[in-house]
Amino acid sequence: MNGNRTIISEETLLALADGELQGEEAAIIEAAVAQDPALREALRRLRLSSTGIAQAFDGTLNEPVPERLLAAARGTASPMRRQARHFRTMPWAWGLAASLATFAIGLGSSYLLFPASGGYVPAAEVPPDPLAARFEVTLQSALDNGKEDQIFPYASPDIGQGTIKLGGRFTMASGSECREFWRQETKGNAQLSDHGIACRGANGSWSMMILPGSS
Amino acid sequence: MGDADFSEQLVALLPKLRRFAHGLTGTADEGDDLVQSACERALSRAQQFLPGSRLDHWMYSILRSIWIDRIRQRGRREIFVDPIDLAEHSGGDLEAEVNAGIDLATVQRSIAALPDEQREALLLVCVEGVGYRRAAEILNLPLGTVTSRVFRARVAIGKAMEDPRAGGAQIIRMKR
Repeated sequence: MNGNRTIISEETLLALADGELQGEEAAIIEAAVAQDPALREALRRLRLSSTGIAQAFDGTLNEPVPERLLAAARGTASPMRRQARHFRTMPWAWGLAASLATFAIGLGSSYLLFPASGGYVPAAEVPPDPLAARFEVTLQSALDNGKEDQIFPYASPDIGQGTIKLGGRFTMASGSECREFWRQETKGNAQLSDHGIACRGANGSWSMMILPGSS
Repeated sequence: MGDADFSEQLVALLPKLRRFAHGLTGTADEGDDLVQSACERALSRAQQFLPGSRLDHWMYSILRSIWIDRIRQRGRREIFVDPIDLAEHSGGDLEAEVNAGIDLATVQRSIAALPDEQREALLLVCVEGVGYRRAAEILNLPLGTVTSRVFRARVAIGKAMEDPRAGGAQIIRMKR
Protein backbone atom coordinates (compact mmCIF):
# COMPACT_ATOMS: atom_id res chain seq x y z
CA MET A 1 0.00 0.00 0.00
CA ASN A 2 1.31 3.40 -0.84
CA GLY A 3 -0.32 5.47 1.87
CA ASN A 4 -2.15 7.66 -0.60
CA ARG A 5 -5.85 7.17 -0.44
CA THR A 6 -8.83 8.51 -2.24
CA ILE A 7 -11.97 8.63 -0.19
CA ILE A 8 -15.05 8.11 -2.30
CA SER A 9 -18.32 8.13 -0.44
CA GLU A 10 -21.17 5.79 -1.24
CA GLU A 11 -23.21 8.86 -2.07
CA THR A 12 -20.63 9.96 -4.64
CA LEU A 13 -20.45 6.54 -6.24
CA LEU A 14 -24.26 6.40 -6.45
CA ALA A 15 -24.33 9.84 -8.05
CA LEU A 16 -21.70 8.76 -10.57
CA ALA A 17 -23.57 5.55 -11.40
CA ASP A 18 -26.79 7.49 -11.92
CA GLY A 19 -25.19 10.08 -14.19
CA GLU A 20 -25.65 12.90 -11.69
CA LEU A 21 -22.01 13.97 -11.78
CA GLN A 22 -20.72 15.87 -14.72
CA GLY A 23 -17.62 17.24 -16.35
CA GLU A 24 -14.40 17.34 -14.42
CA GLU A 25 -15.89 16.00 -11.21
CA ALA A 26 -17.20 12.89 -12.95
CA ALA A 27 -13.87 12.42 -14.76
CA ILE A 28 -11.87 12.61 -11.52
CA ILE A 29 -14.08 10.07 -9.77
CA GLU A 30 -14.10 7.78 -12.82
CA ALA A 31 -10.32 7.87 -12.89
CA ALA A 32 -10.07 7.06 -9.19
CA VAL A 33 -12.56 4.20 -9.52
CA ALA A 34 -10.66 2.80 -12.49
CA GLN A 35 -7.64 2.27 -10.23
CA ASP A 36 -9.43 0.00 -7.82
CA PRO A 37 -10.99 -3.37 -8.64
CA ALA A 38 -13.46 -3.32 -5.71
CA LEU A 39 -14.72 0.14 -6.63
CA ARG A 40 -14.93 -0.81 -10.30
CA GLU A 41 -17.04 -3.80 -9.40
CA ALA A 42 -19.32 -1.73 -7.14
CA LEU A 43 -19.77 0.93 -9.83
CA ARG A 44 -20.54 -1.67 -12.49
CA ARG A 45 -23.19 -3.23 -10.26
CA LEU A 46 -24.70 0.12 -9.32
CA ARG A 47 -24.97 0.98 -13.02
CA LEU A 48 -26.62 -2.34 -13.79
CA SER A 49 -29.11 -1.74 -11.01
CA SER A 50 -30.02 1.72 -12.31
CA THR A 51 -32.50 0.08 -14.69
CA GLY A 52 -35.19 -2.34 -13.70
CA ILE A 53 -35.78 -1.50 -10.04
CA ALA A 54 -38.10 1.43 -10.72
CA GLN A 55 -40.28 -0.74 -12.97
CA ALA A 56 -40.10 -3.92 -10.90
CA PHE A 57 -43.58 -3.55 -9.42
CA ASP A 58 -45.31 -1.60 -12.16
CA GLY A 59 -47.44 -4.66 -12.86
CA THR A 60 -49.16 -4.06 -9.52
CA LEU A 61 -49.45 -0.35 -10.24
CA ASN A 62 -51.36 -1.01 -13.45
CA GLU A 63 -53.77 -3.60 -12.08
CA PRO A 64 -57.31 -2.67 -11.08
CA VAL A 65 -57.46 -2.01 -7.34
CA PRO A 66 -59.33 -4.80 -5.51
CA GLU A 67 -62.77 -3.85 -4.23
CA ARG A 68 -61.87 -4.66 -0.62
CA LEU A 69 -59.15 -1.99 -0.68
CA LEU A 70 -61.48 0.63 -2.14
CA ALA A 71 -63.94 -0.21 0.65
CA ALA A 72 -61.18 -0.01 3.27
CA ALA A 73 -60.04 3.41 2.02
CA ARG A 74 -63.62 4.72 2.07
CA GLY A 75 -64.27 3.25 5.50
CA THR A 76 -67.18 1.19 4.18
CA ALA A 77 -65.64 -2.22 4.87
CA SER A 78 -66.06 -4.16 8.06
CA PRO A 79 -62.74 -4.26 9.86
CA MET A 80 -60.42 -6.75 8.35
CA ARG A 81 -60.28 -10.28 9.62
CA ARG A 82 -56.98 -11.61 8.58
CA GLN A 83 -57.46 -15.13 7.48
CA ALA A 84 -54.81 -17.64 8.30
CA ARG A 85 -52.80 -17.56 5.15
CA HIS A 86 -50.94 -20.53 3.92
CA PHE A 87 -47.47 -19.37 3.07
CA ARG A 88 -46.05 -21.21 0.16
CA THR A 89 -42.52 -21.12 1.31
CA MET A 90 -39.89 -20.65 -1.29
CA PRO A 91 -36.79 -19.27 0.33
CA TRP A 92 -34.49 -17.99 -2.33
CA ALA A 93 -30.91 -18.96 -2.11
CA TRP A 94 -29.61 -15.43 -2.08
CA GLY A 95 -28.34 -14.74 1.39
CA LEU A 96 -27.22 -11.81 3.42
CA ALA A 97 -23.90 -13.51 3.92
CA ALA A 98 -23.36 -13.78 0.20
CA SER A 99 -24.18 -10.14 -0.34
CA LEU A 100 -21.84 -9.14 2.46
CA ALA A 101 -19.11 -11.28 0.99
CA THR A 102 -19.38 -9.59 -2.38
CA PHE A 103 -18.57 -6.24 -0.94
CA ALA A 104 -15.43 -6.73 0.98
CA ILE A 105 -13.02 -3.96 0.24
CA GLY A 106 -9.42 -4.90 -0.22
CA LEU A 107 -7.44 -4.35 2.94
CA GLY A 108 -4.23 -3.60 1.14
CA SER A 109 -5.98 -1.59 -1.48
CA SER A 110 -5.28 2.08 -1.89
CA TYR A 111 -8.93 3.05 -1.72
CA LEU A 112 -11.40 2.88 1.09
CA LEU A 113 -15.09 3.24 0.63
CA PHE A 114 -16.74 5.24 3.36
CA PRO A 115 -20.42 5.11 4.15
CA ALA A 116 -20.45 8.72 5.29
CA SER A 117 -21.35 11.49 2.93
CA GLY A 118 -18.83 14.16 2.13
CA GLY A 119 -17.66 13.64 -1.41
CA TYR A 120 -14.24 12.73 -2.62
CA VAL A 121 -10.82 13.97 -1.68
CA PRO A 122 -8.23 13.87 -4.45
CA ALA A 123 -5.56 11.33 -3.57
CA ALA A 124 -2.70 13.77 -3.60
CA GLU A 125 -4.29 15.88 -0.88
CA VAL A 126 -4.72 13.05 1.60
CA PRO A 127 -1.62 12.72 3.75
CA PRO A 128 -0.49 9.20 4.61
CA ASP A 129 -1.94 8.06 7.89
CA PRO A 130 0.69 6.09 9.84
CA LEU A 131 -1.84 5.04 12.47
CA ALA A 132 -4.15 3.52 9.85
CA ALA A 133 -1.16 1.75 8.34
CA ARG A 134 -0.26 0.31 11.76
CA PHE A 135 -3.87 -0.81 12.20
CA GLU A 136 -3.84 -2.61 8.87
CA VAL A 137 -0.54 -4.36 9.44
CA THR A 138 -1.58 -5.42 12.95
CA LEU A 139 -4.94 -6.63 11.72
CA GLN A 140 -3.38 -8.77 8.96
CA SER A 141 -1.17 -10.68 11.37
CA ALA A 142 -3.87 -10.88 14.06
CA LEU A 143 -6.35 -12.41 11.59
CA ASP A 144 -3.83 -15.07 10.60
CA ASN A 145 -2.85 -16.25 14.08
CA GLY A 146 -5.07 -14.64 16.70
CA LYS A 147 -7.57 -16.47 18.88
CA GLU A 148 -11.13 -15.41 19.50
CA ASP A 149 -11.37 -12.50 21.99
CA GLN A 150 -7.61 -11.94 21.79
CA ILE A 151 -6.67 -8.26 21.86
CA PHE A 152 -3.92 -6.74 19.72
CA PRO A 153 -2.60 -3.25 20.44
CA TYR A 154 -1.20 -0.96 17.77
CA ALA A 155 0.21 2.54 17.97
CA SER A 156 1.94 5.24 16.05
CA PRO A 157 4.05 7.58 18.22
CA ASP A 158 2.62 11.10 18.64
CA ILE A 159 -0.45 10.18 16.58
CA GLY A 160 -2.52 7.70 18.49
CA GLN A 161 -3.07 4.14 19.53
CA GLY A 162 -5.73 1.50 19.45
CA THR A 163 -6.66 -2.10 20.00
CA ILE A 164 -8.13 -4.78 17.78
CA LYS A 165 -10.28 -7.49 19.34
CA LEU A 166 -10.88 -10.58 17.26
CA GLY A 167 -14.12 -12.49 16.85
CA GLY A 168 -14.56 -16.11 15.88
CA ARG A 169 -14.06 -17.65 12.46
CA PHE A 170 -17.00 -18.40 10.22
CA THR A 171 -17.53 -19.38 6.62
CA MET A 172 -19.60 -17.35 4.17
CA ALA A 173 -22.08 -19.02 1.84
CA SER A 174 -19.52 -18.41 -0.88
CA GLY A 175 -17.01 -20.58 0.99
CA SER A 176 -14.75 -17.70 2.09
CA GLU A 177 -13.23 -17.91 5.52
CA CYS A 178 -14.11 -14.78 7.50
CA ARG A 179 -13.61 -13.27 10.96
CA GLU A 180 -15.20 -10.42 12.82
CA PHE A 181 -13.12 -7.78 14.53
CA TRP A 182 -13.66 -4.72 16.71
CA ARG A 183 -11.49 -1.63 16.72
CA GLN A 184 -11.05 0.94 19.52
CA GLU A 185 -8.82 3.82 18.59
CA THR A 186 -7.75 7.11 20.14
CA LYS A 187 -6.26 9.70 17.84
CA GLY A 188 -5.65 13.08 19.43
CA ASN A 189 -8.93 13.90 21.11
CA ALA A 190 -10.95 11.65 18.82
CA GLN A 191 -12.23 8.27 19.92
CA LEU A 192 -13.13 5.73 17.27
CA SER A 193 -15.00 2.53 17.93
CA ASP A 194 -16.14 0.32 15.09
CA HIS A 195 -16.68 -3.19 13.93
CA GLY A 196 -15.94 -5.03 10.74
CA ILE A 197 -15.58 -8.28 8.90
CA ALA A 198 -12.47 -9.61 7.20
CA CYS A 199 -12.52 -12.42 4.67
CA ARG A 200 -9.63 -14.35 3.20
CA GLY A 201 -9.34 -14.07 -0.55
CA ALA A 202 -8.24 -16.77 -2.99
CA ASN A 203 -4.65 -15.54 -2.74
CA GLY A 204 -4.63 -15.94 1.06
CA SER A 205 -4.67 -12.24 1.92
CA TRP A 206 -7.43 -10.69 3.99
CA SER A 207 -9.95 -8.13 2.77
CA MET A 208 -11.90 -6.13 5.28
CA MET A 209 -15.12 -4.27 5.44
CA ILE A 210 -16.01 -1.82 8.20
CA LEU A 211 -19.71 -2.25 8.83
CA PRO A 212 -21.56 1.00 8.18
CA GLY A 213 -23.00 2.70 11.22
CA SER A 214 -20.85 0.69 13.59
CA SER A 215 -18.80 3.60 14.85
CA MET B 1 -60.16 18.14 5.30
CA GLY B 2 -63.48 16.30 5.52
CA ASP B 3 -63.68 12.55 5.94
CA ALA B 4 -64.91 12.11 2.38
CA ASP B 5 -62.04 14.19 0.99
CA PHE B 6 -59.57 12.23 3.03
CA SER B 7 -60.99 8.93 1.80
CA GLU B 8 -60.94 10.00 -1.82
CA GLN B 9 -57.31 11.06 -1.54
CA LEU B 10 -56.57 7.68 -0.04
CA VAL B 11 -58.39 5.92 -2.90
CA ALA B 12 -56.29 7.85 -5.42
CA LEU B 13 -53.13 6.63 -3.69
CA LEU B 14 -54.12 2.96 -3.63
CA PRO B 15 -52.20 1.89 -6.76
CA LYS B 16 -48.96 3.36 -5.39
CA LEU B 17 -49.57 1.96 -1.93
CA ARG B 18 -50.18 -1.51 -3.43
CA ARG B 19 -46.92 -1.27 -5.35
CA PHE B 20 -44.96 -0.32 -2.24
CA ALA B 21 -46.64 -3.03 -0.15
CA HIS B 22 -46.05 -5.67 -2.82
CA GLY B 23 -42.37 -4.81 -2.85
CA LEU B 24 -42.18 -4.81 0.92
CA THR B 25 -43.93 -8.14 1.46
CA GLY B 26 -42.89 -10.01 -1.68
CA THR B 27 -46.39 -11.04 -2.74
CA ALA B 28 -49.37 -9.14 -4.08
CA ASP B 29 -51.82 -10.85 -1.68
CA GLU B 30 -49.78 -10.14 1.41
CA GLY B 31 -49.24 -6.61 0.10
CA ASP B 32 -52.98 -6.06 -0.27
CA ASP B 33 -53.59 -7.27 3.29
CA LEU B 34 -51.06 -4.71 4.42
CA VAL B 35 -52.68 -1.91 2.41
CA GLN B 36 -56.08 -2.81 3.83
CA SER B 37 -54.79 -2.66 7.41
CA ALA B 38 -52.98 0.60 6.67
CA CYS B 39 -56.16 2.20 5.29
CA GLU B 40 -58.07 1.14 8.40
CA ARG B 41 -55.38 2.57 10.65
CA ALA B 42 -55.20 5.80 8.61
CA LEU B 43 -58.95 6.37 8.84
CA SER B 44 -58.94 5.74 12.57
CA ARG B 45 -56.11 8.26 13.00
CA ALA B 46 -57.08 10.74 10.31
CA GLN B 47 -57.06 13.56 12.87
CA GLN B 48 -53.31 12.97 13.35
CA PHE B 49 -52.60 13.71 9.70
CA LEU B 50 -51.21 17.19 9.26
CA PRO B 51 -53.19 18.94 6.51
CA GLY B 52 -50.90 20.19 3.78
CA SER B 53 -48.30 17.48 4.34
CA ARG B 54 -47.85 14.53 2.03
CA LEU B 55 -50.51 11.89 2.51
CA ASP B 56 -48.54 9.35 0.46
CA HIS B 57 -45.51 9.72 2.74
CA TRP B 58 -47.69 9.39 5.81
CA MET B 59 -49.19 6.22 4.35
CA TYR B 60 -45.76 4.77 3.53
CA SER B 61 -44.76 5.18 7.15
CA ILE B 62 -48.01 3.52 8.35
CA LEU B 63 -47.53 0.62 5.91
CA ARG B 64 -43.97 0.16 7.00
CA SER B 65 -44.79 0.25 10.68
CA ILE B 66 -47.58 -2.36 10.34
CA TRP B 67 -45.24 -4.53 8.28
CA ILE B 68 -42.49 -4.36 10.90
CA ASP B 69 -45.01 -5.38 13.58
CA ARG B 70 -46.03 -8.38 11.50
CA ILE B 71 -42.47 -9.47 10.86
CA ARG B 72 -41.77 -9.27 14.57
CA GLN B 73 -44.88 -11.24 15.46
CA ARG B 74 -43.94 -13.97 13.05
CA GLY B 75 -40.32 -13.89 14.06
CA ARG B 76 -39.27 -14.39 10.49
CA ARG B 77 -36.58 -12.52 8.68
CA GLU B 78 -36.97 -13.70 5.13
CA ILE B 79 -39.78 -12.87 2.86
CA PHE B 80 -40.86 -15.45 0.39
CA VAL B 81 -41.57 -14.88 -3.23
CA ASP B 82 -43.89 -17.25 -4.90
CA PRO B 83 -43.01 -18.06 -8.51
CA ILE B 84 -46.72 -18.31 -9.37
CA ASP B 85 -47.27 -14.94 -7.82
CA LEU B 86 -44.37 -13.55 -9.81
CA ALA B 87 -45.87 -14.88 -13.01
CA GLU B 88 -49.34 -13.57 -12.20
CA HIS B 89 -48.21 -10.18 -11.03
CA SER B 90 -45.30 -9.66 -13.29
CA GLY B 91 -43.76 -6.27 -13.33
CA GLY B 92 -44.07 -3.88 -16.21
CA ASP B 93 -44.21 -4.61 -19.88
CA LEU B 94 -42.60 -7.86 -20.93
CA GLU B 95 -41.82 -6.60 -24.40
CA ALA B 96 -40.13 -3.46 -23.13
CA GLU B 97 -38.28 -5.53 -20.59
CA VAL B 98 -36.94 -7.91 -23.21
CA ASN B 99 -35.91 -4.99 -25.40
CA ALA B 100 -34.07 -3.41 -22.53
CA GLY B 101 -32.41 -6.72 -21.69
CA ILE B 102 -33.69 -6.64 -18.12
CA ASP B 103 -35.05 -9.65 -16.37
CA LEU B 104 -37.55 -8.10 -14.00
CA ALA B 105 -38.11 -11.45 -12.29
CA THR B 106 -34.44 -11.40 -11.30
CA VAL B 107 -34.79 -7.87 -10.02
CA GLN B 108 -37.93 -8.72 -8.03
CA ARG B 109 -36.31 -11.79 -6.58
CA SER B 110 -33.17 -10.01 -5.57
CA ILE B 111 -35.25 -7.24 -3.95
CA ALA B 112 -37.11 -9.94 -2.01
CA ALA B 113 -33.81 -11.44 -0.87
CA LEU B 114 -32.56 -8.16 0.62
CA PRO B 115 -32.50 -7.62 4.37
CA ASP B 116 -35.74 -5.85 5.42
CA GLU B 117 -33.99 -2.61 6.27
CA GLN B 118 -32.33 -2.40 2.87
CA ARG B 119 -35.51 -3.32 1.03
CA GLU B 120 -37.64 -0.56 2.56
CA ALA B 121 -35.01 2.09 1.86
CA LEU B 122 -34.54 0.89 -1.72
CA LEU B 123 -38.28 0.80 -2.45
CA LEU B 124 -38.85 4.33 -1.15
CA VAL B 125 -35.91 5.83 -3.03
CA CYS B 126 -35.77 3.81 -6.24
CA VAL B 127 -39.39 2.70 -6.77
CA GLU B 128 -41.50 5.34 -5.05
CA GLY B 129 -39.00 8.07 -5.90
CA VAL B 130 -39.41 10.02 -2.67
CA GLY B 131 -35.72 11.01 -2.56
CA TYR B 132 -33.13 10.18 0.07
CA ARG B 133 -34.07 12.99 2.43
CA ARG B 134 -37.78 12.15 2.50
CA ALA B 135 -36.99 8.45 2.81
CA ALA B 136 -34.87 9.26 5.86
CA GLU B 137 -37.84 11.15 7.37
CA ILE B 138 -40.31 8.35 6.60
CA LEU B 139 -37.98 5.71 8.01
CA ASN B 140 -36.89 7.95 10.88
CA LEU B 141 -33.23 7.30 10.14
CA PRO B 142 -30.15 9.47 9.49
CA LEU B 143 -29.67 10.36 5.83
CA GLY B 144 -26.30 8.58 5.69
CA THR B 145 -27.87 5.34 6.90
CA VAL B 146 -30.50 5.46 4.16
CA THR B 147 -27.83 6.20 1.52
CA SER B 148 -25.75 3.32 2.77
CA ARG B 149 -28.67 0.88 2.71
CA VAL B 150 -29.68 1.89 -0.80
CA PHE B 151 -26.06 1.54 -1.89
CA ARG B 152 -25.73 -1.99 -0.53
CA ALA B 153 -29.11 -2.99 -1.90
CA ARG B 154 -28.21 -1.78 -5.38
CA VAL B 155 -24.82 -3.48 -5.37
CA ALA B 156 -26.56 -6.75 -4.42
CA ILE B 157 -29.16 -6.35 -7.14
CA GLY B 158 -26.51 -5.43 -9.71
CA LYS B 159 -24.65 -8.59 -8.78
CA ALA B 160 -27.79 -10.67 -9.27
CA MET B 161 -28.33 -9.02 -12.66
CA GLU B 162 -24.79 -9.90 -13.71
CA ASP B 163 -25.43 -13.54 -13.03
CA PRO B 164 -29.06 -14.43 -12.42
CA ARG B 165 -28.11 -18.04 -11.70
CA ALA B 166 -25.72 -17.16 -8.89
CA GLY B 167 -26.67 -18.73 -5.60
CA GLY B 168 -28.72 -21.40 -7.27
CA ALA B 169 -31.87 -19.31 -7.47
CA GLN B 170 -34.46 -20.52 -9.87
CA ILE B 171 -35.04 -18.41 -12.94
CA ILE B 172 -38.65 -17.75 -13.63
CA ARG B 173 -39.84 -16.71 -17.03
CA MET B 174 -42.89 -14.56 -16.93
CA LYS B 175 -45.87 -15.43 -19.03
CA ARG B 176 -48.93 -13.52 -19.97
